[in-house]
Amino acid sequence: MSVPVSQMWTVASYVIKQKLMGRKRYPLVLMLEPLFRCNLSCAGCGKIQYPDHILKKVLSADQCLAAADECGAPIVSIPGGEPLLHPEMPQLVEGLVARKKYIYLCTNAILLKSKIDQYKATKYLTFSVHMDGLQEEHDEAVCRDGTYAKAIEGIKEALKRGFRVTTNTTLFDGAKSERVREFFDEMMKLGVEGMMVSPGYSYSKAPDQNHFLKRQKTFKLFREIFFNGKKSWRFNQSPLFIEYLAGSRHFECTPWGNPTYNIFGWQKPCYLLQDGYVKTFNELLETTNWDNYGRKSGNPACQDCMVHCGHEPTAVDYTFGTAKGFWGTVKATLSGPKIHAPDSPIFPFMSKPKNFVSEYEQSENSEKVMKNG
Amino acid sequence: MANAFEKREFVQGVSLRVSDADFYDGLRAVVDYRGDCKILLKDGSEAEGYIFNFTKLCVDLIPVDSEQRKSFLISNIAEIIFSGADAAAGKSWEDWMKRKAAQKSHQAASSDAASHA
Repeated sequence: MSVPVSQMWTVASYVIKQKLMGRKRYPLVLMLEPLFRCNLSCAGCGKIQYPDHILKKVLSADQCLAAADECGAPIVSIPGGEPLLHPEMPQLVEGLVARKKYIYLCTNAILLKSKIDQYKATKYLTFSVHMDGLQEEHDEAVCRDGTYAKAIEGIKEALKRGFRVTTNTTLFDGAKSERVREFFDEMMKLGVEGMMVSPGYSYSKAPDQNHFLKRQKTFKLFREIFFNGKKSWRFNQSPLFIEYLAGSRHFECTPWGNPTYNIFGWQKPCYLLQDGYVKTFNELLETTNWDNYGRKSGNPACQDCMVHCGHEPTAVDYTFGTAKGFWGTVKATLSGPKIHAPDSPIFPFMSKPKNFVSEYEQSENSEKVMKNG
Repeated sequence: MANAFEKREFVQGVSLRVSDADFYDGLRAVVDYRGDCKILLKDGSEAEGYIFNFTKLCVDLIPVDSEQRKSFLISNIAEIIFSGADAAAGKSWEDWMKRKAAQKSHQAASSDAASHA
């Protein structure tokens, strides 16, 4: 694992503190979306399709810092849109660093080289560069040729100046395991601190609906990628999450683990679904019907989701909240994640999901009962 | 108005009346819609913008021409029209792949022609 010790310590002590305080639901990573505008239009992205007047809106640095204070998560991830297009991004980063938040600034790196002078290298700031594979796969995924080369240029410049740089890769149906392995080798050669990888989520608004992975396919792909994985590969994510992706263990979703704040407010229930917005973080925690989300709930929107924003918080909670989880993480860190062979028939046990009734159907049914006496 | 057997498709130009049987399905579609909508109120006034949220009581909108978000009581609404273009429509993966394939075959044809010249 490539996460620096100071960051690991911050997260571990935070989680243990939440446990000692008896908090059942606590945030781990704030997903801060200060704008939706982007300089790319990727086929798998459901975040940027809005009318122009919405795309022109941004959260101010002060609004973002207030959200970070309200939420209290030790890590702040800044996706978007493209954060480097935000006029107050340097001030926002500075404010978060002053609060000792670990920041993942998620960028496609097109503007990284030209804007890097505005930032100072610190252990708190990581440029998390969107890279969906080697040149051919990446340019295809982001629907623009030349983006891979531009991103590599940005990564090299950031590394040269002493910044922490990680890559963030979303894998879709059709991804070739050998090519992904080659891509990992290439990123390690570049010298990035670590890599993050996750299967894509099928946003109803993403133009590409046919290329998202389903659960069994996800297991197969990740087993092919990680079986006999190389010791030289470093990941900036929990090794237990990698075991989960490869079907070596099962985690349920922790939708409140990575709460999302954007120009509409606090998003219910998670980074991926948009079931309404509320004004405060407490309102989000208290008014969301959490039983309606995650695979176990039977909610059709959650059945095939294995994305890191919901399942990595579960892995982290398991690591720092249980002796078994802690030991599993130590073991996976020292000797690599436990991965079954791609053709292995062993899959994790998953309880049967409940019969899902949406909140609207629930209230409609109760109204009918009241009307009929 | 939709009958009990068919579900309407909520696309640009469609109108949703409070009296419609599928009004609440329509509201769900309104917040899913990635274009602007126009709200016509019972008192004759109207507002246009992006509707991002609804509860049992009200609908929240960011106006096209103002920073000040507005909430409207559902009981005051007469009709909602899907007025703006859907920003999520018409940019498919297939279109991108077709363009890529066309570009590749064009490049191959050009280099063939150049080598024969």
